[in-house]
Parts: sequence; C-alpha cells; structure tokens
Amino acid sequence: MDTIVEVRNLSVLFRTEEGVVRAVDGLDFEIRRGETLGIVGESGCGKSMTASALMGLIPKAGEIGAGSTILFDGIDVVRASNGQLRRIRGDRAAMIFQEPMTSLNPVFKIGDQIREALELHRTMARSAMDARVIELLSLVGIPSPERIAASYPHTLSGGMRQRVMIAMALACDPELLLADEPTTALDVTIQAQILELMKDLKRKVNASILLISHNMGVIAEMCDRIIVMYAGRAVEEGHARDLFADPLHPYTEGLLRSIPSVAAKRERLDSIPGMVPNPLSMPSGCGFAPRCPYARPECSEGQPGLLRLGEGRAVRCFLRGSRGEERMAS
Amino acid sequence: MALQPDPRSSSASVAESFDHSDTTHKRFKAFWKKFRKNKLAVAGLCTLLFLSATAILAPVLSPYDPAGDANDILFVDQAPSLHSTRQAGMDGVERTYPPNLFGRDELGRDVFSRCLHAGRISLSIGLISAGIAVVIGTIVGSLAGYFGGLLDDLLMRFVDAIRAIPTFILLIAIMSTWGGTAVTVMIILGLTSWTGTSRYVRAEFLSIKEREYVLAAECSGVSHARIISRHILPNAIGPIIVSATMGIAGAILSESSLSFFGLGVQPPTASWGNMLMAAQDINTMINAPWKAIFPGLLILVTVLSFNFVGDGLRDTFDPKLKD
Repeated sequence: MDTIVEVRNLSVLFRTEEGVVRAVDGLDFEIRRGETLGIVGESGCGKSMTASALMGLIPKAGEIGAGSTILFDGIDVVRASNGQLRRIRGDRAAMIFQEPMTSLNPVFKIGDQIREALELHRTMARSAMDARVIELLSLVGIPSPERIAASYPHTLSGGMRQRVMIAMALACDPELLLADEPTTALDVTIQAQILELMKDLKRKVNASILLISHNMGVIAEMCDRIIVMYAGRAVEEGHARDLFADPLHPYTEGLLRSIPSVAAKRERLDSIPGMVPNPLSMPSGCGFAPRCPYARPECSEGQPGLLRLGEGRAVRCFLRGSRGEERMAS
Repeated sequence: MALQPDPRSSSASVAESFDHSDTTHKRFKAFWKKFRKNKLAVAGLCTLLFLSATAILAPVLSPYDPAGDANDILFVDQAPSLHSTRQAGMDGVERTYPPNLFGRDELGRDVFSRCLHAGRISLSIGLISAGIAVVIGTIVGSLAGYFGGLLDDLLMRFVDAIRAIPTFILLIAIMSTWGGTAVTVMIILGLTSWTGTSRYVRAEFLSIKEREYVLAAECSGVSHARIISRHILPNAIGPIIVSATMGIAGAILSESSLSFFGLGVQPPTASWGNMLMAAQDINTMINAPWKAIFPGLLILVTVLSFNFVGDGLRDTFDPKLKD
C-alpha cells in the first residue's frame, strides 16, 4: 500500500453556546509512505486539531463531523475503539510536541519515560528495553546517554528535551510521525540541529512525517508536499518546490512575502493585513476575502471550491479558474 | 551531529546505568535541605518522632499497669512526684513503688503509664483514620478531576451533600449506635473526613491533566488507569501528603472531642481524650489538676506538631518557594 494515511472530508466541530465552530472544515489529504507532508497556517487555522484528529485525540468538547473519514493503513480512526487506538498510538503513530519544557513528566527519569512506550507495545526483557533506550538516546545525538537516562527532565536544556521527545516518539519505530511545531519553542541554532536530526532520522527509519508549523522556512526545509490551511480549510496544496516558486493563492503569496529576508533591504516586514476571521461568524464567501488584496465582489458571495490542477496542485480561489462553486472531485 | 550510537553505550554498561539510587538520594537531600529551613516543622517532626517512640515502647517504659492493680486504691489522686516510695500494699507485703511522674488518677492508676498507652491509641487513630480518608479522598478526587463531566458532577455533589451535614453531630449519632472502640472510631473518622482531600486532589488533577506530558502519554497509548496512577498522581503527591498530615491532627482532636462526650474509646482503654473526659469535674480542677494537664498537653503538642510538619511539607512541596 502506497499511502499510510487517507483523510477524507475531515471536520472537527465545537458546539459552543454562541454557535458551532468548525476548527477543521472539509479537509482532504493523504500521506504517502516515506513522505514528509507539511501543514502550514496561522494560529487557530486548525492545523494542530488535524494532528489530534489523526491520533483520535480531539479535546472532549469537540467532535468529528459526520461523513469524516480518517484511514490509518486501512484502520478507521474515527470509528475505532479506544483499545484499538491505544495500540496504534505510540507504536505505529507517534507524536512530537511543541513544548519540550512541559512535555516530559517531571517526576519520571528520562530512561523510564522512553521505556514506557516499549513496555506498552513490545514484549521484551527489561535489559533489552534498557539497551534500546540507550540506543535511542544515542540515535538522537545525546552525549553520555546512560547518565541522561538516569536523570530527571529538569536537569536538561530545551534542545536536549526535544531530542528526548523525539527519542520517545521513535521508540517503537513508528510508521507515522506527527510533529506539531517541533522546533517553535527552540532557539534558531537548536532549531536547525533538530530539523537536521529529523531529516537524518527519516532517511534511516523511513517513516512518514506530518510536520505542522507556522514557519515557512521550516516547512521549506523539510517537506515534500505542503498544504496551506486558512480558517479550517485547505486553501492550497502542492509540491514544496512548485508552491514556493509559484504560489497560487493570495494567502500563500502573503505568507511567503512575510518571510524576513536578509538580501532585500526593507524598512518594514511585509505582513498580511487584518485578522483571522472569528470562527463564530465566518464570512459567507471565501474566508480570506476580507484580507485579500485581490478580492472581487463574488469572493464574498460564494465559497470557492478546491480546484485540482494536476500534479498534486490544488487551490481554493475564484481568481484561478472560473467560478468554482462545484467542487472538482479528486 | 552525533547520529552514530555512542561506542561507550555498550550493553554491558546498561545494567549499572539504570541504578537510580544515587539520584533518589540526591532528591531526598534537596528536599531535606528545604524542609530544614522551617525550624517549627523540624521541631514538630522531632517531637512526633519522640512521641511515636514513647508510644511504641509504652509497655517497656511504663512503670505501672495502665489498667491499674490491686494496690492503686491506697494512692488515689496522689500528686506527681519524682521519688519512689516504699510501703506495705493491701496484702501487707512491703514493696517499692516507682515514682509517679504525672501523679495518679481517681482510681489510683499511674497517669504517666496511662498517657504512654493512650498515645498508642490516639496516634494510631490519627494515622489510620487519616489513612482511610486520604485513600478514599484520593480515589474520589482523581476520578472526578480526571474524567470530569457527569461523573465529576455526581461525585462532587455527593461530597457537597456530605459536607452539608455537621460532621460532629453525625459522629455523635453514629458513635452512640455503634459504641466506641478504637477500631470503630478509626473507621468512622476516616469515613467522614475524606471530603476535603477529595477536593484538593480533584483540583490538582484538573490542572495537571491539561499539562502536555499527559497528552504526550495519551499519544503513546497509555491507558486512563495508568495515566491517573503513574503520570498524574505522583505530581499531585504534595497536597495529598499535606492534607494527610493535617488530617492526622484533625482525627486526634475529633477522637478527643468524642471521648470528652463519652462517645469515643471507652475506658478502661486509655486514650488522651477519654483521660481528659474522666478529669472533667470540679474536684479534679482544684485537687488533682495533673489528671487533665498531662493528657491535654499531649494532645496540644501532638496536634501542633502535625500542623507544623504539614505546613513545612506544604512549603517544601511548593515549587514557587525555591530555597
């Protein structure tokens, strides 16, 4: 099988007293084996919620919309039992978190935390587990792994903890790694090291990676394919090279323009004017229309469909193609 | 980027690498260093250790039988003294009587020996009923805090209902039907005093379950039971220990109050509370105050010590108060 994850028409809803919030609205994508897919977008665009949905771990207040399908290697994550999901989590799919400082349990030694996934998913002797823990810690480039395995998280720096988090995620050789802003909390030099490490590891273990970030630089560095999300919807999709060379959606264009560049001497950073729309009162038309420099009257009337352009490219915008009310089927 | 496994990490060195005794020892040392700063808590701890030792060694340390013997009748309400006496007993045989450090009571029994044995009863009532309360409170609090929703509502409204009943009236009602033995007092006090702990634990769980390491554990496929017991509970242990310490003091006081009304541990078994109860007449106040002073002092010192230790532990566990 070529694809490991297939997501069809995924919606995540939150019913609040003021109305229904659609954190993710009709998202379609798949992740192929060995591929790195990037999801990029502003805070609150639904990218983290997508990762949680893949793990079957959306917050209690939320729910997966009817008609959503998430297939993980043929297993329907939306309808799977808790026990079934627990067997996947940490074993076949693992997650790396944004905040290395708070994602390790302060009362557990590093070695014990990494070993937990092994205890849950593998039957092996304690000594073999300990050996595996040491192996994992050296794999993620931690010096003197024996000493680190026996120490508590508070004695480690942020970069070291993120390495530990990655070691934990890799413990059972997962087929899918979900990395939710894995480098956002780290300073740039450590960020570069961690990204380098993840690339190297991917080559070694041949896992698929879903990388979630708001940082276009990180995405460009890491990903084969990219999905740009805005207000819960995918607005553009494509191979990394194409998307960076020729952004089709005005939002993507804005994101790329707002990357600070050393070469171009500018007084001010470019930014996209305006704010993400309030999820409780979404504009009736295109969600980006109020902030879009190219907005036309029809943009605030109807919702543009996702237009598939071939070679993996897709865009959701009236400016490309004629009125795309009818959604082009994939 | 050292991606190659470190050559030093041969499996031979793995065995000793997981020997954690060293770091545990260090952690305890750091804890003790912080705790030691609170002089009252240290004094309380020393007092408690001393009182526990005297309670454990009561049969060895007691010069007299706490339940009294045939010759007591000769020495009713004798004042405390530091000297032993020698005189003939009821049977006419002359023998030496060890000093009565705390005097004798209205039946001629040695108050010192009774206080030592009462310490066993009172301290174990404190420990065991606080233990029962902490276990129930922790279970209820962690279930309510972790699962939330309807279960939380049900459990917490049940707690509210229990707290709405004046505990002491409830205790008097139950004790007067069940009758007071040390064991029933322990159980009843335990069963009626867990609500505070359950609220503390629930509050801790509400905050800790939102931490990222709990989500990380969920993402590794850890079950709810294991998340509660292995990931959250150890992080909430501070408030639990503090409420246990305070609970011990509270239970000792409750037992004393119950005994004061004649509903606690029944004589001739001595508890500090029922010794006080036996001393509550005007004759005692004027002629033999030692019968009330010594058990009263012991209750006061014990409860204060437990509260000081509890305060000290709370400060030590509070991460915001760094060294």
